[in-house]
Amino acid sequence: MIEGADVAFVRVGTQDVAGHGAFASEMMGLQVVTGGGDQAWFRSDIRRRTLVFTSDDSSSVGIALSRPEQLDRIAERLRDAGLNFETHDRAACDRLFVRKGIRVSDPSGNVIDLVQGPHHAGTRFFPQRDNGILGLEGVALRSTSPERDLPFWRDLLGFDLRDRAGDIVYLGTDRLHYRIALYPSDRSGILAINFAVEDLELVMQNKYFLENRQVPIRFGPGRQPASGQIFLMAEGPEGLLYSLVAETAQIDPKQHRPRQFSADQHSLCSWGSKAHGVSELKL
Amino acid sequence: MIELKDVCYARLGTRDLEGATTFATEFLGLEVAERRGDSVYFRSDERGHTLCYFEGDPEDQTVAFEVEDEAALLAAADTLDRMNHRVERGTVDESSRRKVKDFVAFRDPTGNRIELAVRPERSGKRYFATRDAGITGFSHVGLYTTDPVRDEAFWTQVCNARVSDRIGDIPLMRVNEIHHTIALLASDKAGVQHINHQVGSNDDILRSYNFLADRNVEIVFGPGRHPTSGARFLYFKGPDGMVYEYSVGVDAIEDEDGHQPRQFGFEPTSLCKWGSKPQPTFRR
Repeated sequence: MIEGADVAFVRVGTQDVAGHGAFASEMMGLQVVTGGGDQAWFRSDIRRRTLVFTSDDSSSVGIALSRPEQLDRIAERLRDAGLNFETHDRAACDRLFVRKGIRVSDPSGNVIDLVQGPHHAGTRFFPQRDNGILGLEGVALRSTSPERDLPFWRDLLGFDLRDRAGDIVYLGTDRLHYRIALYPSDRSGILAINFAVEDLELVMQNKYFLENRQVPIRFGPGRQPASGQIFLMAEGPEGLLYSLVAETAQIDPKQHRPRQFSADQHSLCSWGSKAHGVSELKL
Repeated sequence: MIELKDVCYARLGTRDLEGATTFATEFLGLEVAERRGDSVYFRSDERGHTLCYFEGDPEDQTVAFEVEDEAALLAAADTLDRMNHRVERGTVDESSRRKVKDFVAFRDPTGNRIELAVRPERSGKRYFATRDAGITGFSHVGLYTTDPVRDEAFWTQVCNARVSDRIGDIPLMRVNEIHHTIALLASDKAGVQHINHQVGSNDDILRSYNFLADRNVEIVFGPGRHPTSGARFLYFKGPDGMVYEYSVGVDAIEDEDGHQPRQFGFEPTSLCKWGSKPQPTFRR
């Protein structure tokens, strides 16, 4: 239904813009985008801007549809379902660096900017250090009930249910196994931002780089069974997790049938690593 | 010149044969091929055995290499003899205890006990691991040397090893296309520093890292990647202080005539390009 949609940006609403900015810069090595003013802006790939820290907006996840008609169809479905959403006017679109967009909340309260035409930069992405980052790949969200939220994501927004692990739900839009994961939690919010890195080499290089700087590694290095994704979750300010990932599986959306991985720790990491200090990451 | 074909087996004395056997099977993942008298034989691949623990002194360590045939064995014995290296011919009983047809034993210049063996036994039965470590076979050893330059000359001039790369004075030497079968590490006396088994994939390395660490096996280096051989590795402590290594993806040196050994400085990134550092317990 939303073939080709991807996660275009993540906006983090916070009172500690400086702390987050320093972490994204010095620890993760993302490229600074100028013009942020009181906000901190970063990019991770060909797009103009993929990560924003701001004190004057709520957090939101930007999901880009490839065609304007897809956005219109989603708006129609939301209207038919009686759900409120906000259409971004020109000024709001300019602030988000998109052509069109609407803002809606999922049943847990996660704010989603459904957009079309996120801006691309004329210049190549160049990280601040050799982090091997290829780009923003996906997001893990906290959900107060993934099962209750599933119809919203699947039937209204058009995501495919790819797999479940315990009550965790993996959602995809195209051949990439998943882009959005919903983790059961006592609240809504962004749990982790997934950045694709080149390969295992870079996941491991990042592991040692971050550990040497006392950045807590909350989970990994590991391999997620459902998606086959190699991951390393590093914790930034306010518990925000940066998940460096590689080898996320490509699947055939027409053939793939959702699987139910059992509710135990091996369903989150087939290498046997265990999460530390993040309750959403325990099965 | 003594033509070494491949590493063949390692023999290690131990005062705790049961403990060593438990480690070799439940932690390392090898298969018990046979228990005979005071010895336990372990398999890691299609060979009859590649590791033997026997009741004895932990300092009683041997590494064996296979040579082509009986003629090559006699020629090797002769070469060593003429160089005034003491050579012992294996008895029938000793050969049987090594599951080989024949062998000679000598000491390298540092004093490491080396055996040259012919017709090591192969097993008709497939190797079946004790745990899912992904082991594909015994691959190489690290030996202590009291003089890396002198010992490199021995292995490359008296024997047929070639230096693939060096880290400081440490030569990594090959006897076939595999980047290294013998690595020398400096010390004040002889000994085997590590025993390497190859595993199937990076996943195996990372799985074993968690499996072993969860069971309080001491991880002494890694998970990491050697810039020299390209292999992804994990080193951990076994019985009597022996270091065991899993690795995968060791480079092959195809261009025998053209390959020039590289010189890496003796610093951490020469040992691991990912950034891991060896613990003090990695070596004496």
